[in-house]
Amino acid sequence: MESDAKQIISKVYKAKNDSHAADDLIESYLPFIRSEAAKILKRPVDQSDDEMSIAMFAFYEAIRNYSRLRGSFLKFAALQIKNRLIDYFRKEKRNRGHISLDEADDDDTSLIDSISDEHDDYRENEIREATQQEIAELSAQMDDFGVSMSDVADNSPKQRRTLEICQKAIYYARNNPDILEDFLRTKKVPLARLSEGAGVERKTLERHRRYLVAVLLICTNGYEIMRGHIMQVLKGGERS
Amino acid sequence: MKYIVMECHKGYAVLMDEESRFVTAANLGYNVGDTINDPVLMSSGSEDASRRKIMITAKFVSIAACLTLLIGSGYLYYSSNYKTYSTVIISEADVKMSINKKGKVIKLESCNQRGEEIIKDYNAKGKDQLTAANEIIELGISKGYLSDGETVSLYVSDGETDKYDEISDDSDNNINKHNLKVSVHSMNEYDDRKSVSATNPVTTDAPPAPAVPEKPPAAPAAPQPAEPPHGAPLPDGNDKAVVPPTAPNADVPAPAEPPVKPDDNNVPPPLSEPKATEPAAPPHEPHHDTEPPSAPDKINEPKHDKQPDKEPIPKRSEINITPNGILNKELPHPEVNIKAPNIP
Repeated sequence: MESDAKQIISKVYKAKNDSHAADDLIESYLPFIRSEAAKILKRPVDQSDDEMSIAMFAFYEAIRNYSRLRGSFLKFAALQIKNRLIDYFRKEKRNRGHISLDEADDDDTSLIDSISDEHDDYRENEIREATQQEIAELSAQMDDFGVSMSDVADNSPKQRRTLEICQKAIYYARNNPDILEDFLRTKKVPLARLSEGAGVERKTLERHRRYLVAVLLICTNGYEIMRGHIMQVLKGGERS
Repeated sequence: MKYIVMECHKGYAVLMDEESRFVTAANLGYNVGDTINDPVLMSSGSEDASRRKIMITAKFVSIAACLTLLIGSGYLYYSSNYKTYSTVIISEADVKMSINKKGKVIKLESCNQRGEEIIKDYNAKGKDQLTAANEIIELGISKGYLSDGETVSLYVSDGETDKYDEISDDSDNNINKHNLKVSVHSMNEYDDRKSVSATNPVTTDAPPAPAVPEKPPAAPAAPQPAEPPHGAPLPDGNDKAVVPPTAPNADVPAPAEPPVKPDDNNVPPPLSEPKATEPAAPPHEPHHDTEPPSAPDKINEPKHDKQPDKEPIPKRSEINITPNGILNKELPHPEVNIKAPNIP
């Protein structure tokens, strides 16, 4: 029993910093996650259910937040799953007054079919595919810098003030193409030039180096969709 | 806020919002490139951890602050109420009072057996120092160790050096009803006097010398003094005339003659049995800072105590100092001139 517990804990600590190890751990504990969700829901849970996704997400959160001081990992994970599902139910309860678009009428036609849709699905699919392609290219380029999307998510600034400092540096880089060229060539973020040019603390930029890699890459050629997604924010860096 | 799905995993997805933040959220069946409006975001574990650390630190700091406050206030309370701030010695009563910062008595100690008898069954804790001094003096008087007309010396430690006059006036006002004079001195004078008396052959607490053999005839107008209560030492150490202990049944605590006035050499106090050792009580030094007492030098004073300006009372000295230098509590009949034999 103790060796199993130790084994789980070592796997958990490995999965904290490795997204693949985290995926493997979640995969191996899917029955546990399903059973815990079923306890809360008091009904069997299917893999496609949103509640199952929430429970898996809670298990991942438990991996990220677990420490040995908290005792047994599985108990901790069970508690996280329970809390997340309760939060999810409360949120869903607030939306209970809405009618589901999938609800069928008397003539077995769902509401979503009867409502006219002005969206161009074909166009949306095209945009989605282009976005996927850009994201794939971005991921590949980030691999050259030794950075993954999960790393960027962990390294992304949480506070408004820190975010604005990083945005100032990015805006300065966008207005100085030689910095971006230097960045692509050396595969290193020119922290000194950015801090000096943007008038921000170098230490803050150093703390969020991986985030800057991702955003500076988006600012280079080839990522129009993503750049368009965050363009308003990049313009706002000029004003602030 | 719109989010673009950047990466999908088994239990989570990475999204990018319109402010260029990258966040982790639950993967509710997302595909890379999807645009999401209302994701289930992960609460930042690192923020929780740092918040937890801050909370734990804050708890420890608050506990430490509370403990410091408690200890500090406890110490303040202790130093105000239980720590000895000054000491007052009532030399005539041989009693030492330990006083706290508020002027209240913390502890009462006797310097010798006489003092012990005076303060026996007396509790001065919490009383004002002057009140306690008055009560001790009254006890001394009631038990016959002090008598009217005497000068009471209060020795005050250096902590209250600037209060001499105040203590003196207060004591004077409160003790005057017993026709006692009060003199207040520094504790250094007491220490000096003690060191002087230490060289005095008068032995402290030594048993008294054998009683004077002859009992003089009754004093002219002095009633026969009753025996002092058993175990009660004769009052001595008074600089003024020794007053025999008051008999329990005596109506008049003192004989008609003024025994406290050594000036009246012809009316010496009546004889009484020698009692417990008269401690070579710190000779009552002449009160330099007060008017000369009505009584001349104390008969208990060691011979080397020099009072050039005071009229000596040779007879009393002779009478009351035994050959061994031990204070003889027995006082001869006024008409009897007993000279102490010289015993090597």
